[in-house]
Amino acid sequence: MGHWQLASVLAFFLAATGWGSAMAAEAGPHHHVEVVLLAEKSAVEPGKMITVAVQERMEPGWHTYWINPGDSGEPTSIEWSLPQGLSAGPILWPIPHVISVGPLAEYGYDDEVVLLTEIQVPEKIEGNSVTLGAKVSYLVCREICIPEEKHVELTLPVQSAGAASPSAFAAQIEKARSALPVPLPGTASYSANPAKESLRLTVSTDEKLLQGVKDARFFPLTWGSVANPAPQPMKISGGRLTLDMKQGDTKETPERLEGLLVLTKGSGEGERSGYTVSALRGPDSATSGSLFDAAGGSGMGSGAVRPGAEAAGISGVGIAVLFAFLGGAMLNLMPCVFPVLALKALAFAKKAEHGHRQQGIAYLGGVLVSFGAIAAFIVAFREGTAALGWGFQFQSPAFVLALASLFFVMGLSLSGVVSFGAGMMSIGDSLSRRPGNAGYFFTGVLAAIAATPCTAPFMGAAIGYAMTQPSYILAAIMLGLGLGFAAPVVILSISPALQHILPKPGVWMVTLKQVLAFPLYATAAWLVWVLSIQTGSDGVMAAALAVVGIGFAAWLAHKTAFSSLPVKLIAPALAVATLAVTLPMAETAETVSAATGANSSVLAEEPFTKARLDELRADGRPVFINLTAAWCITCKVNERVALKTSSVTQAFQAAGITYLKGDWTRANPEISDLLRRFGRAGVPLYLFYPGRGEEPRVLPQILTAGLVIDEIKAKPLIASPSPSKGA
Amino acid sequence: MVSFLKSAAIAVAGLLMTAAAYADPEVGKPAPDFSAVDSNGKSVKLSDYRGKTVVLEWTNDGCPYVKKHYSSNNMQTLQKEVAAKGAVWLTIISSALGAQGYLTGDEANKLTETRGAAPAAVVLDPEGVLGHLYDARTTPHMFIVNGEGTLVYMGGIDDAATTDPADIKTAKNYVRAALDNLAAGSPIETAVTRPYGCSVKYKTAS
Repeated sequence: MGHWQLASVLAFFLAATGWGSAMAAEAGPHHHVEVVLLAEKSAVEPGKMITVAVQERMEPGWHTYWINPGDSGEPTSIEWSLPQGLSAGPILWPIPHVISVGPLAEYGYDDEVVLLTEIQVPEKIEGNSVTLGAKVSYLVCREICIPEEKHVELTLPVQSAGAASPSAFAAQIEKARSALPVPLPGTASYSANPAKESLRLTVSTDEKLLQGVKDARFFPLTWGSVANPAPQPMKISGGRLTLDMKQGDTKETPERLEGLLVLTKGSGEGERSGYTVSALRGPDSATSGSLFDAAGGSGMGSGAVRPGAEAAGISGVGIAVLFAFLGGAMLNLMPCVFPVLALKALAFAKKAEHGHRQQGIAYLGGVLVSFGAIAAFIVAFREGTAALGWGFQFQSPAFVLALASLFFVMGLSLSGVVSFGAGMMSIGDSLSRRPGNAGYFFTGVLAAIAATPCTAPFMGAAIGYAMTQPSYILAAIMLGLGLGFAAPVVILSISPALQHILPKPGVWMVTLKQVLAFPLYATAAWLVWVLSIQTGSDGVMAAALAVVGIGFAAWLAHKTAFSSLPVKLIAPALAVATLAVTLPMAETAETVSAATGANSSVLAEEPFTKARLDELRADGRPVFINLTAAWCITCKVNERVALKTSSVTQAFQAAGITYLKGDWTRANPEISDLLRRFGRAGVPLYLFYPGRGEEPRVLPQILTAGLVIDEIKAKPLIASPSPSKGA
Repeated sequence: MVSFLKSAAIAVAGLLMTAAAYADPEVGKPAPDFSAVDSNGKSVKLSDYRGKTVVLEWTNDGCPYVKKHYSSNNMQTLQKEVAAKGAVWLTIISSALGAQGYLTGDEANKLTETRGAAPAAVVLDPEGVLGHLYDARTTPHMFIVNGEGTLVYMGGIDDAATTDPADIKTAKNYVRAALDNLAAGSPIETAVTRPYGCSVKYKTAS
């Protein structure tokens, strides 16, 4: 190897200095490839096919190219000159290797390659022999590239059919033939995720074919759709293989993605086998113009459907508002609110019995206006930024990380490491001293503002959640918070006697605050887990860095709390810088795997695609659909307690049900369409198509094993016995 | 402390720029701006040419594909057409020191003269910064940036991915076609094509 390198470096210097350039680069008398023409048989037989081989033997380190050369290079071409009546087929390309050249990837061959061609011999041939001529043109590259051309010839006698014997090269040619790619036994499809500029190839085949596969690579047949140098992480579960690829320059998503799937098994260099693949584009790719659109009407605007939390379902809104109300009520127990509340209660008790109701309502009005203003601000901010192209969605890894960072910071705040808005207390103070109902209105406003140091963590969490929701839910949640927040004062205004049930202010308030930090940390931990599923280890690294950076900034903020203003600004600047670095890091991290846990499921699952569903329905087969996402806790619980249990698995198998799992962790228009069709804004959604053209049944959002089994048994197929052969 | 802030800000900006460098250029998006040094030691900044069409050509004079277009006078003709229209042609050499195609400023000027080329400037990029910024893969690899600074074309010089100069006559020159589209104010008919040629001889990571 060493002296070749030296020689080529020398060649470069000669080239660089000018006079040597022609010699170094132009194909002089010295060729880097030896080309010979071989035939499988010792003679040609009229009316038969003969396999011939162009064998290229490269000097060490040099390579020639596959039919798609990849990022640079040019494939070998053979121009045949054959006697009248003989015709040559195309080159039968052997399996190529990936040749990495700096940031580029080329597809080709080193050492030696045997290019087989089949030549059809006519029934009638004139003369006793034929001469097969081939002009072989190829580009051979090492660090530099040289186009070479060789003319090779082979003269073979003509013998009657069956008389020709195998040539000396028969074994070599047979070996090359047996190593040629074969059509994939099974089906292949692919889908594109334009937002991530990624492609996913899904292959369903015989389980045995995939057993022991340690590496898989897709070689696209043509340039444009697939980025050549990007790694292609694979996942195998049973008879299914998925490969994640990066989109190429054109970002084209052709109807069929053609190429070669190469699987490597065994140790060391391994044993490679190639399969020709023609993957149909899944309808959920770049643009969906599917049947599902019927229900949706106008397309998805920037915020039409916000996949967020499972609570966005039909009954979810009420629950979310209820929790918001409880959360708001709990805000009153915070150290900076509770004393105010206690004072107000005292005031009510001291004064006369009448008139408090009005004051209470004025207070309520003040609080609600404040919370309403916050909601309006969030909606305006969100719509504004959505127009700017920010995607406030859980599918964006950067958003998930931002949210995790927010929860972490809010947790730190509750833990007492950092404090927010301590200076805001006095703003509305003078207003609230006004007499009468106006005074109470502003007391409400003040309470909302004054409480900021304590409520910010909760507000932050609520806002973080509300961000992912449609505007009306967001407004409902904020007003729910406000109602809850105002509730104690309103109740006391109606019935001052109730004040004795209030606990006394004390250290317990601080303790409570500190304890409440931990659910926030837990939420942050969960979000990092979501991120790990979206992006793999790179995303987790980004999250870890974000946490360290923010932690450091928090410590610094504490340390510099009494310094001059520019010094004080370092900590927040550092926090912002941390996010500025880690968010793009998370966003650009390579996707490693889907959320579908490969390891555990005993239930044979297939990825949900509309095409697959339509196919199964057309066959009259029963289908169970699970639409899920990594960030959906309800989904995970349902899978654990119901769908992945052995009783459900057995019931599915017994009924011949195909289990389709749709992963909505990242945006998938096909799944969004299906959700919309069933009036859902988010996952989970469980559907059972009983087969035989019956209408689908929607299962509840909370599943048990018994419920699922009952549901699939509930209405047996009308015409029994079941015609399903697979059952 | 202020100076600390400043250097911290510069460090962060540096990190962000590194991140930006990994985002591949995309047709229809702003072309990555750069500031580089040409063969005469002068600074060349893409954004200085705002208002003018800029053609970027990655080259390596040892590469047979490049030779095809220079021995046939194809590239020089196009360069002169571009200059005549008041557009800017930048020839960029991203070959590393010691690699094929690497030239010093003087050598580059001599080459321009001997082969009768007419670029506005020959940019020397031995570290490959510019090459990686544009994800330039082959020589030649062509890019066109319009007057607003938007990348409007990237890909090959034409559709004949061979080293045979005879193919130029029958080939469709994508760059000329795109420039004609630009001049006519119509959308670029073929905006992304396969760049073909030798790999760019980048400096290796080690």
